[in-house]
Amino acid sequence: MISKKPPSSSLRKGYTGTVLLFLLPWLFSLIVFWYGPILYTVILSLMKYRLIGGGYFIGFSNYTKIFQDKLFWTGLQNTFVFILMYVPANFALGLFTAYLLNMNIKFKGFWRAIIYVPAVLPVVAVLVLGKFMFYPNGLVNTLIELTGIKGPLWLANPNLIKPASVMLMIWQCGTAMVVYLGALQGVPKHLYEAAEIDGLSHSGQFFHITIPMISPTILFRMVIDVIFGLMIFVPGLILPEGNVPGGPGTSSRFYALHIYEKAFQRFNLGEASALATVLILLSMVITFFIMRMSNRYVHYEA
Amino acid sequence: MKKLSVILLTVVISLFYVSPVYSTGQGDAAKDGPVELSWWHLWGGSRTELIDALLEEYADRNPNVTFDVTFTPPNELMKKVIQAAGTGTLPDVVQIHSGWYTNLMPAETLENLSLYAERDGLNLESTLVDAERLRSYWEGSLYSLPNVNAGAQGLFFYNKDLMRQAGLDPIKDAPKNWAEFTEVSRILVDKLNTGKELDVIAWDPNQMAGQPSVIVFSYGAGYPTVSNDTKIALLDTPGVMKTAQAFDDYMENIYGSYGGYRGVMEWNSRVAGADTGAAQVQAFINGNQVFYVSGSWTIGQVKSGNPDMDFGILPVPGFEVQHGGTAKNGWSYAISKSSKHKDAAWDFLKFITLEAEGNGEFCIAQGRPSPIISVNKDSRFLTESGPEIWSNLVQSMNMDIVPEALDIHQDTLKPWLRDIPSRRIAGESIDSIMLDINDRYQDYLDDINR
Repeated sequence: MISKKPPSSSLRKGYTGTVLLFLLPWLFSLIVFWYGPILYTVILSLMKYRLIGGGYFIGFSNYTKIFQDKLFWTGLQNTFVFILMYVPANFALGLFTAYLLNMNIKFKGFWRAIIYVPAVLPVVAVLVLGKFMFYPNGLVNTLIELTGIKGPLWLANPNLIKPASVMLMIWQCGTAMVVYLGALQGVPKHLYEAAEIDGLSHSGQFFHITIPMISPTILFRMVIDVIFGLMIFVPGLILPEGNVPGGPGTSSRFYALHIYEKAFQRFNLGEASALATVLILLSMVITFFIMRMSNRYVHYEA
Repeated sequence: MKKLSVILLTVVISLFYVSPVYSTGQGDAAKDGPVELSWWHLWGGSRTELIDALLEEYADRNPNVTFDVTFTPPNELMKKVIQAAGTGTLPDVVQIHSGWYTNLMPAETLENLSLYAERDGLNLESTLVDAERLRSYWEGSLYSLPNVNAGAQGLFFYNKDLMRQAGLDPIKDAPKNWAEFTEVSRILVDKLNTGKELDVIAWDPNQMAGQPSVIVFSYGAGYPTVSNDTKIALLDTPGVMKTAQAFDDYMENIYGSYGGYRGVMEWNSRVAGADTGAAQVQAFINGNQVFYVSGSWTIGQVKSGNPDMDFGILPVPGFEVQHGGTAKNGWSYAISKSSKHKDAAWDFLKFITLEAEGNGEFCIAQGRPSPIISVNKDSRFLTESGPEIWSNLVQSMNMDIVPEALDIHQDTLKPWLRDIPSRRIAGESIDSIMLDINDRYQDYLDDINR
């Protein structure tokens, strides 16, 4: 017979102690390597701090200065434009490929591998390769010129550098594809069978069954992609014609590139930390809003 | 007890005076016992062998000194050095660029070498080329010594074979001023290209080999791009703006029929293979580019890349008169303030910067001038370079000394200037681009000088 008596306080203490002991390595790394640096960044953002010579507290001056800097707003604007293009594109391509691969097609494993491989390549390698493709005489323009049209200067045109960045970044849609594929396979078959009996078309099934059923996954991917977009950095460093970080002009000067320049080219750690703190707050606010909005659009299975 | 204390104190003080801590450094490093010196330098590629030879030569003289050597490419060295300086982890001997003094705060991070030089009775004035000596000081104190002659940065390389091919006389028609240069360039582009696209260019004003051309030409014409105290950006001054405008006109006048900026950008992509300085050096070596602006370090590269090429060197063509200037900026070596082996480091530093057996051999083997005056009289230079090239080189090392934009342009100013073609194609005026770059440069200078 199992006793219904609650465990004694000494037993509970022992249990809590064991749990804490097992959690300790994780807690240690969380505090030392995550919360610690974040806290230190916030402290540095209130200081005039240079790598050489140390620093002293100056209140919120760094924040005043960064908000007055037009490059701060340029970086923010470029980053949001990138997010607006990247998030829907990565969603559409990831879901589309997952949807295709969820069907009964031949060599399914092979196609999955082909689509996933770019996702395991380093971003820098993908972008360097992509840069050659987007050169004035690169593969992309060579293909365009087959139609008799002169290809544009993708990497030298302020209006095309961001679309080019997005095109190369969604080459790595394999990660999203895998996540969506898992979600698609989790949609109960009987829902489609019932819909078919009711005469719902394939597109109707997609919009009324598939999308609502995988909406928690879409939400998850959206949060991840938006945060990824906020931190976007490498395309602005590698892609522009002439190896001009942030170029042409300031058209690919993303927010994170601005932080990088302040921290590692000017060694102005105070302002760089203020910029980083703003980015953390921004990520939190945007994530909060997405989660709030999700109540209306995300369907959680009961 | 008091007596015992006095005896102990005397013993301790005596030990202190005979210990290495109080070493005067008068003797060579070998006398100080086994020492391991850490050394960071930027000489990779073909220069690795020269570095090994230097170390061997030094080890023969100082068998008790060993080295922990780290190579770091030039474009990564600045970040690495400044981060190490900030964390007190600089090596004993470190390669720096004299343009980094502003960022490095030498008084806090580097050993003041003035006392060492004085102690050893060095006469730097009679030993070093003026520009190289002057760039070694920061706020009146010596914090580094020059490694290679860097002042001769504005050399105008030209391919004599291609000039002949275009029906020009490589001696008589070698351009001496901007008007002659544009005229010769027009003839070259017309004669050496027959198709719709450019195969051979005369010169790309936006090329970036070492220094950005607009800076080289500006200081060559006597227009500084930064104030003497390196606090004020001068890219918006009439002289520099005039240089940028002349470059802009050059692109239109010489390459207009090939699409101007776009034509040269496509040439970079198709013929040079990229838009980097390294790719354009190769294009010069391969005979796809007639003129090329670079420093003395390129001479050896061109010679080894194309031994049959007949090329010459000119000072950069000035606008009204041929003027030219010697830049006060370049690569040096310094000793870390936190070094535990300062005397041994000083001994090694002298070897790689001030001695013919060390620095001299390193420079001669590369065919590039040494900061040491006497080394540059070595007959091997003349034999290797030929009298014409060598006399122009020596001339370019000894012109008016001008402050040059800090070497931070490796990361900042240089890319902004390299962005000019894209921005011009996008429709911005050259004046507006230069004013914007000047603002960004000033913002940078304000940041690092705070």
